[in-house]
Amino acid sequence: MKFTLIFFAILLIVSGSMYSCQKSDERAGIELPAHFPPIRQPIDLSEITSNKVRLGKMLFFDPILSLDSTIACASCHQQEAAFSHIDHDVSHGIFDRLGSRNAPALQNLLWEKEFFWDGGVHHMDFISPNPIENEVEMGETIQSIVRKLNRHPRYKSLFSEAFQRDSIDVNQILEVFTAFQATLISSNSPFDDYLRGNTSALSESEIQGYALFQSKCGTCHSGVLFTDNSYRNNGLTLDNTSDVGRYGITLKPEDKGKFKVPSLRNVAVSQPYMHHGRLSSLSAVLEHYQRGIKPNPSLDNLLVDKISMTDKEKELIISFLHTLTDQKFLKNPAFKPE
Amino acid sequence: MKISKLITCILILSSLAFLTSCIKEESTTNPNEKGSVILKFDHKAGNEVFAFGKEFTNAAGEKMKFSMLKYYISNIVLHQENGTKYTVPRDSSYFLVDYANSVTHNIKISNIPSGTYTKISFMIGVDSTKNTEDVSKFEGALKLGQGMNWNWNAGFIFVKTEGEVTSASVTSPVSFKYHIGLFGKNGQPNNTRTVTLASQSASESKARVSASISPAFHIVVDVLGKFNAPNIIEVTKKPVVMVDNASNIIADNYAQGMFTLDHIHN
Ligand code: HEC
Ligand code: HEC
Repeated sequence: MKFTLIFFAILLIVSGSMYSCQKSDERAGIELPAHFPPIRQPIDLSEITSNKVRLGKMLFFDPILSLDSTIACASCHQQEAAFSHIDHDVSHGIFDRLGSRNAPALQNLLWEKEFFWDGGVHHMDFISPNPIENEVEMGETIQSIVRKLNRHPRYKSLFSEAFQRDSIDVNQILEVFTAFQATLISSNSPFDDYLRGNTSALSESEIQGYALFQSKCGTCHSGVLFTDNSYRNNGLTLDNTSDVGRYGITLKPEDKGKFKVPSLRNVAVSQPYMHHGRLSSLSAVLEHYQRGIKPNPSLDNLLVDKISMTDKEKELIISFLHTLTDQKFLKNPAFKPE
Repeated sequence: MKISKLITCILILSSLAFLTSCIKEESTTNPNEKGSVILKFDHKAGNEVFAFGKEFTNAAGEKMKFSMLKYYISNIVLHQENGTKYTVPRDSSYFLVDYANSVTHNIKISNIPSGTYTKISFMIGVDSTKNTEDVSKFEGALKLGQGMNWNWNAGFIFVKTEGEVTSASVTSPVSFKYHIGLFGKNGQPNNTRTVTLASQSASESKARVSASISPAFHIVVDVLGKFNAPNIIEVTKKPVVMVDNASNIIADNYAQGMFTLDHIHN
């Protein structure tokens, strides 16, 4: 009897402070652009709090995640390049080890169905173990990261504030990466202004370039996100043996050498291009589609006859691609380390 | 300030937990009696007792030595003599058996309605629904970082064996890695398998579950079964099978050749 009385007394006293312990953890309030389609990731945005976003950002910039404490996510994903790797054809990780693929821009990840060039990861939560445990990227194990962070007083207190738990575990780490990466939304390029009704946001020739782009490139690079989320081969190599791409995930021979159709937002600042990073400029890309396509068994039907374009048309398409550069995104202070 | 807030939050949480446990205790006074069972996994290689580093001969005539053996058991269902079934609740139905950790060889399942049970079924592996949930649903045996999932082709590994193998023609040891998983996403094979086992022993074939008796299901796991039956695998010819269409027939092997219910102990 006495015990229950004391128990309820405690309950009463502490319930007053309950409200405030939730308040310190407010929602991040991620805004979805009205002209974008519904998000494709099965993520409950209301669970993303600003504490989690902040932690995800801290980790993104912290080399503590790599074996020799030299490489952070941000080493290969730089904001001014839309979080791609400036001037690196393939990734460059710990001990100067080289990977085999180009680091893509990180943007609008909520709208992606699957991640990486081959689409091997279906949910945002499972992205971060890839670079962390990849021996040519960060060379760590997720368990060792858990131990390192639990020994780190600052992370320890921030995580316990964000999750109301005594110790940090794998799930919390993956969740904060998702939280931060969910905020990487690029939707404020001149092209977006144009779509929102500001007809003077694009010049006459950029609008012409847009029309050409839609007819020549728009089947694959479709919609406001410039991808149909499919896996295709655009004729980069003759035999598809150097990187089997999507085949590694589906195990279907016809998928050899197919890769995800990438979004082209911020494409003018995310060179070099393609999964192997071997095309260094947009004119090299246009040159490829016009003359460089290599016949191979997986080549997409749409590209069998290459894409016919005049030099003038190529220029117009490139001028349109520049309108996809979102300066607000590239300079957003919210994405910079504290 | 912050610490005191944290402490109050913890206090609240723990008092809530206390409160709910009180409620639960009251509800067990209802007439439906509950009991528990234990699943005991005994590892063998053919008729021999299994051990790491010990040499066994598989059906292809190769000599295998193991250094790793781990597998997931999930979606457990217990079948009564009268046809009634008890499905273990989803959240407490995923178990990782790790040969290197004998604690994991015994799985205790509680809260089972009393009755006479004659069969058990379970999935070898982790179902596709669980595989596609977000990380907050990966608790306990499913926590990442136990070497039982692939990062680049996100998903769980179901049955993982590693070791060394030699054959009459391959005399210096080759290391083998058979990491079998895949749940059918993107047209990959679906290597989850469900087995239903009845006791091999006529005299010890029934589990009488009650509040006072916790019967044990003695399950014999023939580790070589993964390589022997019905498909004979020549491990030296293909020492590594992971994300591979060939994994499908190995899944048939672990479904048909690996698990038997030797007897039930009351
Ligand atoms: C050593 C360079 C390097 C580091 C460090 C690195 N990445 Fe990457 N990242 C890459 C490369 C290369 C790819 C493309 C790999 C592929 O597709 O196979 C990639 C792909 C990605 C993608 C997929 C994007 C998409 O749209 O499919 C995400 C998301 C990502 N990285 C996030 C991270 C995070 C988070 C970290 C830190 C935990 C990180 N990266 C660390 C090089 C790196
Ligand atoms: C048949 C579908 C298809 C068509 C048509 C197509 N692309 Fe692509 N595009 C792809 C695929 C697939 C990739 C990725 C290929 C790879 O890396 O293996 C890609 C990659 C790119 C990239 C590299 C982006 C990056 O971040 O690395 C650019 C730029 C690009 N395409 C522009 C264009 C332009 C401009 C056109 C029209 C002239 C066009 N594409 C037509 C399928 C297509």
